[in-house]
Amino acid sequence: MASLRERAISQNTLVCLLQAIQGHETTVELRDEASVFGLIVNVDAFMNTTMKYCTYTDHRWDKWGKTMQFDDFYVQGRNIRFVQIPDAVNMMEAIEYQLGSIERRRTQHSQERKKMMALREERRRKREAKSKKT
Amino acid sequence: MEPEEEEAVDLTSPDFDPAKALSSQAVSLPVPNVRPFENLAQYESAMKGLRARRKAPASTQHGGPDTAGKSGSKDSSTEAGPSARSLPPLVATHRKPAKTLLTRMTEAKQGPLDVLRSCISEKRRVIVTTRTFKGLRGICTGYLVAFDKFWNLAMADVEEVYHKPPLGKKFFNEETLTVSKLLQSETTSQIVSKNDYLMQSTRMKEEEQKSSAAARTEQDTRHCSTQYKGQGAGMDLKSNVKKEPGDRGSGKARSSTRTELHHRSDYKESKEKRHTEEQRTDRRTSSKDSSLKKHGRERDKGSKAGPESLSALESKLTNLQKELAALDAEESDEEEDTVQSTTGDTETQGRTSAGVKGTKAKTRRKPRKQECQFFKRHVNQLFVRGENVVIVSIKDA
Repeated sequence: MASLRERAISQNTLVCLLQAIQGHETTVELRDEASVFGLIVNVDAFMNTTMKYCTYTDHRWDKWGKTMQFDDFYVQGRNIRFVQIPDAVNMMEAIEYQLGSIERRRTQHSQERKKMMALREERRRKREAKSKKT
Repeated sequence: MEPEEEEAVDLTSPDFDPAKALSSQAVSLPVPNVRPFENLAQYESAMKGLRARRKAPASTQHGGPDTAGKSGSKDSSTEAGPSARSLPPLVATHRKPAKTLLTRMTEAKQGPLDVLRSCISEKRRVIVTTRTFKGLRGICTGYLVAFDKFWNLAMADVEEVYHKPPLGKKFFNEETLTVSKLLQSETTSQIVSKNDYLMQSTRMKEEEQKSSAAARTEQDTRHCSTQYKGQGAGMDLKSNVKKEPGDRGSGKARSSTRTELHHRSDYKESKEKRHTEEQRTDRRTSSKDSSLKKHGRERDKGSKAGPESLSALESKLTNLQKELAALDAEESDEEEDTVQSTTGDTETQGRTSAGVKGTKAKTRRKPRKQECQFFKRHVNQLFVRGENVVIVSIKDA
């Protein structure tokens, strides 16, 4: 999972909204007027987005503009202008849910960390005892 | 109190007697203002945690004096013995609730972010101006739902008016778009709505096959056709509404300002536009005979620029041909005239008749210089990346 830093970022910014719509199909509009419609697989703290089953529409809308199909698509966060949030999603609830899940992960993480530290401690003590004996 | 008894109650003394301390009221702690435990279980779990974290219990163990009790709390003072741990780590384990997006949204007490917060709480509509890499792109009008320090915005019920930067060399000659222009464009109706555009696109494809309009300007043709669609609607309206010249005039006066915003300038593409108009008239003749007549009559009144249209009344065929001829002669001037004369009708009536033909002819030339093509669309829920936000203004104060 994401690093501590990434988690802090997504917890404190609206990126968590985008993370909440992972698994939804939506349109991401890019800064160069192109747009991508597809399934959002993952959004990281820097808004870098991984998508699946995408239809990419060129920045030109005329005949020379192309629409292309991609099975996998990756957008760097900076290139995003808009993300259309699906109607099925209530934004406020989505944000709250996402923040909750981040928090849960955080506590889980800290507990795991505690356990790990305890184990390490025990091992250390054993080693010390051994060395004392010898 | 006797000194002996005092000694027994004193936590630091070697003669400390826990049983006495429990019953005594005079227990004084070496460390005042410590946080007490609620019960024994809490103490136990806290000590466990501490022990687990401790590297070498023997080495870090302080001398007896530090206790984890409070005055009056019998449990803790009983437990507090030489094995008691120091309190500070315990306090450290008490974690503040983490700051999140939601807490941060409310924590701003002044400044622009606070204004954003008030927009959310008071449910005001905001106008967000967005940018392209060069200049402005458009404005989104909608309700704010959430924001963060980067000005990423989550908006609901968004009406976006925007324009696409032209391609190729046109891009560099493009007139700069200003906020006032954008706002003006929002209030006026010379905008192609995205829905129209999408609906039209399928129909246009069929027509394209017929007319074989140049491919490069498909967008343009679509654009035009939507306009003309509007024109058709306008004509329907007109047939209901009486044919007061004053009405029409006012409409023109207004529409001329609107066309300023509008992109109809390239001479290169005027040909394609003509194509579309031809199609348009085709459709018109097939479907709306009565409206055609009215249209023709109106044009007689409204435009000296197209005298050929006079004869258009006589038959549909000749009308088509002559219109084409007129267009050939006058490029898109004529075409613009038709747009103006009809879009005017869709406008609200009751203005003074200001549209004098002469002035109209003058103003008609101006719009050429403008190169903006506005589109309008509606998005229910939109996330805007903060990077693209230029201005946020409150719509209804």
